[in-house]
Amino acid sequence: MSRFQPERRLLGCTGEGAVLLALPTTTGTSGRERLGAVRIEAPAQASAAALADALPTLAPAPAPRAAGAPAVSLAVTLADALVRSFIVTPPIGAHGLRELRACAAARFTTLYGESAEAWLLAADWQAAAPFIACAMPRALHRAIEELAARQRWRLASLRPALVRVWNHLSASIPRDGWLLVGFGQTLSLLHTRHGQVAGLRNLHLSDAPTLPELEILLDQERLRIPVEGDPRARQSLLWAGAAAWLPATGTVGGLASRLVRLPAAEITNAELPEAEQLALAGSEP
Amino acid sequence: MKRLPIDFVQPPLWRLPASGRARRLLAGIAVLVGLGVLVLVWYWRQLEQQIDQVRQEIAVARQEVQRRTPPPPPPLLLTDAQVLATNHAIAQLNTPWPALLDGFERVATPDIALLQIEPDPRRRVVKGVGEAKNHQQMLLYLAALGAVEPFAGAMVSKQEVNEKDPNRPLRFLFEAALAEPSLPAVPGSAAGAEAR
Repeated sequence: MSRFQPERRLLGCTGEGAVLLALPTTTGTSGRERLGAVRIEAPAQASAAALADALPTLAPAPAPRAAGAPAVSLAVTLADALVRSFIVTPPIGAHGLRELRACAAARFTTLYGESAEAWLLAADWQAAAPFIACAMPRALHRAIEELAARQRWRLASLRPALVRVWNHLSASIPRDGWLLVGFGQTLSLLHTRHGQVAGLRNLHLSDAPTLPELEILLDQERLRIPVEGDPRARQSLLWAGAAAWLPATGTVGGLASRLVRLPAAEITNAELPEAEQLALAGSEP
Repeated sequence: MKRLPIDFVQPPLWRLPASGRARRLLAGIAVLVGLGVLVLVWYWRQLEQQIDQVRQEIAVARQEVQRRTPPPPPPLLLTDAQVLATNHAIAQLNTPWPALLDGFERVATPDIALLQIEPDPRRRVVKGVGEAKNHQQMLLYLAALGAVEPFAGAMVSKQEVNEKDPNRPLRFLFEAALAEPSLPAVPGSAAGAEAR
């Protein structure tokens, strides 16, 4: 094994717990090993803080690292329920990252009614088009950094599930339509129009939805967003994720639909916990 | 759709996407650095040309100096005859004339007429010509001469009676040997001087 090829650790975080996986250096997820898991019982509003408190118990104390041992990288995938994702429309004439950050913070305050100081913002900063911004609790971010530092792992990436799916399927996302991401009981709906993001919502489902329920959900979301011209013209759906309830039919709600399961090799009869699904989603480049 | 560069991990500096302003700034700095390099190269070539020109001028000046400098005199090489002549002249000049004349003065008598003396430094003798009334006076004179300094002896080399003279004097040639200790060199007159 080359010392320059790092071992990979995958961490999936949800409001109900976290799962830590070890992957061999080769690509794929076939040889994965479950290193640890934590489960928390806390109300949804306090789930991020409870998860931050539980993360130190996720992995045992690290053994002394042998000379020449390969580096270990950690990829973390956060459930969309732990992250606040929203769309920011920059003001006309905006330029500079500082101004865009101020716009995103103001948008966060408007949407959620609290200051963004306790949240860490990351976004696809653009001055001339609406862009996606994501915020995660600073306490959870600090807990993950401390976990990586304690284990002497390099924190390679820390992304929401929606962003991971987007980057994995960026070439397949319809320019006019919907990207629907499902992990566990969380459904993220992202609407695109003319190649730009037009709407974004995260929904926590009480139970695994059926196809008619998904169609109703989709119709409700389409009603929330003003549509120019024929609402069904040239729109398509792209379902992605690891949830078992994602529809595999070719048409949903009268729109062309397509399903991509992530990770592609993880089609099993027994559905994995959401945190493990998310952890495996981090194996995608 | 393009990928989303959303990550809560701060990427290393070298992976940060450069903003337009930073890109322009970097491009400006690169242009300035490029211009600076061009100026330096140009200045360097100018300096090299000046150095070459100065070297050529120095070479021309050196050739001019060599051309104007007279050739060195050839080394002085004397022939054997010249060396012998020079040594002879030096020996003549080193003849101790005062001591010789003092010696002849001491033994001078009215019966002996000293007609000529000629030193021969190579043989360390003094040749002389004299006239005496008879053989007895000649021998007495030569004995006395050989006993005074700087002489170490005197002997007759040739004798004859001058029949043309009414007194019929005895003319004789003699050689007086110089004493072995070399005499201090004193400036003297030219060889062949005559003494009466």
